[in-house]
Amino acid sequence: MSVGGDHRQFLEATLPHADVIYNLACHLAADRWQAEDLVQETYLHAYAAFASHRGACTRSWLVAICLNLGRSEVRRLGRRPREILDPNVGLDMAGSENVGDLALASVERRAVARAIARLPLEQRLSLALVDICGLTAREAAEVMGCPRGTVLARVHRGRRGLAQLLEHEGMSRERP
Amino acid sequence: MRDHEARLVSFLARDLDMSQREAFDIHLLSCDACWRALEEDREGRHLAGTLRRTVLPALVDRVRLVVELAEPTEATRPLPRVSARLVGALFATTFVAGGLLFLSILGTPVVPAQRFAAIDAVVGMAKTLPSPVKPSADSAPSEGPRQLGAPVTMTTQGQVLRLTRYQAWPTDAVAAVSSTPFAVPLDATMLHQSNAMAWNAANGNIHILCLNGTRSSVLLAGRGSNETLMRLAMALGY
Repeated sequence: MSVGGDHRQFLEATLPHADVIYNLACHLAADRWQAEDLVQETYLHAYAAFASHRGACTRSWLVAICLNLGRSEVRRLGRRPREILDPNVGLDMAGSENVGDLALASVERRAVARAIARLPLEQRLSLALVDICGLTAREAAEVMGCPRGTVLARVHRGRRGLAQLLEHEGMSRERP
Repeated sequence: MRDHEARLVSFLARDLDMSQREAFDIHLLSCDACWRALEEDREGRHLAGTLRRTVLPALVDRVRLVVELAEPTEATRPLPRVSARLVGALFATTFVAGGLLFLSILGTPVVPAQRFAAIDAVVGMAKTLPSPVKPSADSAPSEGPRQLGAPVTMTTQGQVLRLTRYQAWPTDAVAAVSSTPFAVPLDATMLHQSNAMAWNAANGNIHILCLNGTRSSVLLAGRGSNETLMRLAMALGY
């Protein structure tokens, strides 16, 4: 995996995971611009350390860097991270015939983001890593430094908490 | 109740063997608490999944650019394949030749040709900014520039740059501040004929304005006009 400063090899190995890092950054940062900066800083830090990255899963490695940078930034600014709005929403709506549905989806996403922000930190992070970023429970456990069973329990409680919070807002789906 | 939750979590993670799974299926039919927990888990997973996004192509371009321009650290620096002495000789020859050519054409102070890399970096970043948008009623020019995100520090060919993006009506721009003066491209227009303190230039549809100072220098780049960049420079106090 050692590449000795080869930009191309680094980008080929890491850019396929840009969606995962962007989703995590959106969860950790206060707004879209900070999320984009966090993605950039993650890649720069990863590039600087790429020569020493051997064997381990590249996706988990990038996520760990992003998480550490994001947590440092949160500590520095002394604030709680929150979900940011989807910057694509406006663009999607402009080109779509079904603007009403998209607007509704946007409102729902805001409510979901607000509800996730109200969950306890460890549940929130576990939920973000597994359900939003798409990591396996094992990968999330590796990143968070805890057993897989702990992550599974946190994700389960986070999902239930999210569903209950949104049920209070009348947003849950019809149950059979 | 904790035991029920542990069972349910194992059931959802498919950690149970066939017989345990069948037993829990039967248990679910008679346990309202577990059934509700199962439904909430599925609902929560669906809701969280609605927040998944796809990274914007412009952000991928930006990441690619800063990585390509990043200085290799000691850890990532490749082993030299050619003699350092040869590289030094080539560099010195290029430097002297370039300096003489530069002096003969412009008659301005000599600056190392490698510093054009800094300008390339700023222009490259400016190219990733959104295209100018038609100003709306709520984006009047009197509002002044708005900083977008946190500044980013990067090093290109030894020159340390602090890059900040601004929303500068009617378009976005990148401002690069450095303690080292920016080199003057050959096609630049000098704004003060006596020296290389201020100049502007264009690279495709990207306009560039440079104000070299004794302590710090600023380079502004964006799709807006020269007037837009000048307004931004003034608003930023340069």
